[in-house]
Amino acid sequence: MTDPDKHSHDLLLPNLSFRWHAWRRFRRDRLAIAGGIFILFLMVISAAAPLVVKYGTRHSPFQQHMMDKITVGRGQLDVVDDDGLPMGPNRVFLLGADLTGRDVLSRVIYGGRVSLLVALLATGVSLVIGLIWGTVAAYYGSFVDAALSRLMELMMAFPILLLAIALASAMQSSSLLVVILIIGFVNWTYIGRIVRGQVLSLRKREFVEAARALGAGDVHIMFRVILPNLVAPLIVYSTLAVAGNILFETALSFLGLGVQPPTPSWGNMIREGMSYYNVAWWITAFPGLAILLTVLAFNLLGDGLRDALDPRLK
Amino acid sequence: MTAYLLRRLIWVVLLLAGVSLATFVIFFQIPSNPAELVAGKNATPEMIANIERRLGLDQPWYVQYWRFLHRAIRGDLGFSYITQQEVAPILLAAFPVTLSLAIGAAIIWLAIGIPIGVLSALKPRSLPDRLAMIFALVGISTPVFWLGLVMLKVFADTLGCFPLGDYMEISRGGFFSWMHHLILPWITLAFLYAGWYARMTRANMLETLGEDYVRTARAKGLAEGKVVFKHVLRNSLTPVVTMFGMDLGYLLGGAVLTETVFGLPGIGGLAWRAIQQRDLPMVMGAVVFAAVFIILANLVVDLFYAVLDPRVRYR
Repeated sequence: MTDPDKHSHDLLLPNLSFRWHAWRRFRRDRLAIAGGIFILFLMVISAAAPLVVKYGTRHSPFQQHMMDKITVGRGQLDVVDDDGLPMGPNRVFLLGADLTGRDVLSRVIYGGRVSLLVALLATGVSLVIGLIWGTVAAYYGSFVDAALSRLMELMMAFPILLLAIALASAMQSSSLLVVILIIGFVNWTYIGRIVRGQVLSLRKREFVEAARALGAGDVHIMFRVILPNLVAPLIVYSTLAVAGNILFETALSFLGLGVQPPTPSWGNMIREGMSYYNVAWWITAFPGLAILLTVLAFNLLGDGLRDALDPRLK
Repeated sequence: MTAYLLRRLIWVVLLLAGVSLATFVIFFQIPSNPAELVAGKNATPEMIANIERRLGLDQPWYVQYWRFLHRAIRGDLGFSYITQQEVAPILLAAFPVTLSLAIGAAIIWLAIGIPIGVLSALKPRSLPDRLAMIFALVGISTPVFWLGLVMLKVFADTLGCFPLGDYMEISRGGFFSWMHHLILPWITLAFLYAGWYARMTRANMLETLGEDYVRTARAKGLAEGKVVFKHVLRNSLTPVVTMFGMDLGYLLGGAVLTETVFGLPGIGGLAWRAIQQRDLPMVMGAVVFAAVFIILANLVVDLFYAVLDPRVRYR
């Protein structure tokens, strides 16, 4: 990243000034900070989910309470009543119970682990593909660029959700790894285009010429000389890509393709409760709210990072 | 320009061939025999072999693909494995539903997103701007299938002012009934897109407002309204038009999630069911159908640039 304030600060604060200014700008963005804190909070909860469930909610996300009664206040209540209707939010099941009497809160907590893990790793996959594709295309230019760009156009001509659905069906497996690879694969074009644009503007710069004059090879120039300059935009767009990938993962598992029950994920919880949204709204409402807040947090953080790291884009 | 157009059209055909080839190859990885699906549960091996021959499934995949291409060029997409009906007419019958959904939603999101973006950009960092941008951010962060359920719960179930999903053709129920059935899906889909359009319009407006020629226009004493509407808006809407073309193209290929939640019998739902049922001809038809719109939208957008922006020249 080039420093817009370079001329005034270069002599006094080499290297430090850009990061320092970026951090100062970021610190003042309260919404972005809030988004960052919420994400940290989610990560801690997800990492410690077994402990949180054991000592916090006190219900396993898998334990069914079909026949159980619980004491709320003075009365004894069925977790799932004779008509098959589960209980709504109360003091024992804070977010209510689902159709087989499982604790919705515990399931939302466990579901978050899946969504976060899948979205983060899928973004990693897109990042690797996009980085290699974009750097190679822009660095070599001419027919390499033309060929790779055609390849991307083919990729972008697909209805990507349908492509992901078809791939997931073809794999005959819904392991986490497969879902991560599919989401990463169908969404790399976003990061690829950004990398290509950035490398195109960097490859003719003096420091690249200097490295070449010193005898550096193409691979060294691409990944050791040019790449470090892409860190700032990549942080920003990866954060925003995580937000998109969480929506994508939940959409896939809503359609029944991602993580399979009984393992809870936010998407498959909504799928399971969908037919009962009118009588037991809490089964679908809370996982949906969890998705909304998490995606919002990543978007807020991404926006804040962009404003801080790239002051030209306000 | 003619040479350019010709090259682009050839490329469109190649892209379609590529998309259909990739879909074909992906589907041949699925270890299930469509002939068994067609034959039903109590079929004898001879019956299955017969059906395989009739559907051409005993041929290697590239022969099958070649036959598909050969027929597709003439608009014949084959027969569904499941219902035995012709694919092309089924797709054409589902298209008005998808078209109704996409056009209605598009009108709403443009009518909300662009004015919000413009007003936000004119008073950046003000309270209305901040509120509008939070609204937009919530829009782009909401899972559309969940919002659909919330809308159904609140407006159809609790308040009872809209029907619970379902679709009504204009020819059967008239214009107002058609609209009444589509308002919730429209708003659901539009909420998401309005967020993107508001953000994009605002960002482009702010960028254009900082340009030298805008300062010149102001310096020569042009009224602010004229500066904004004649100079700034026009230039900052070009990228928005691009995005609109792409989004519309994408949506015309079917909005799988929205159609699923609201039970609309459009292209997206059709494709989704076909994939579940391993109904290859139906899947091929739906994917190619969707790809046609995406690719054409791309082409239209590029040509539109040439008309709108004199700086763009094609070689």
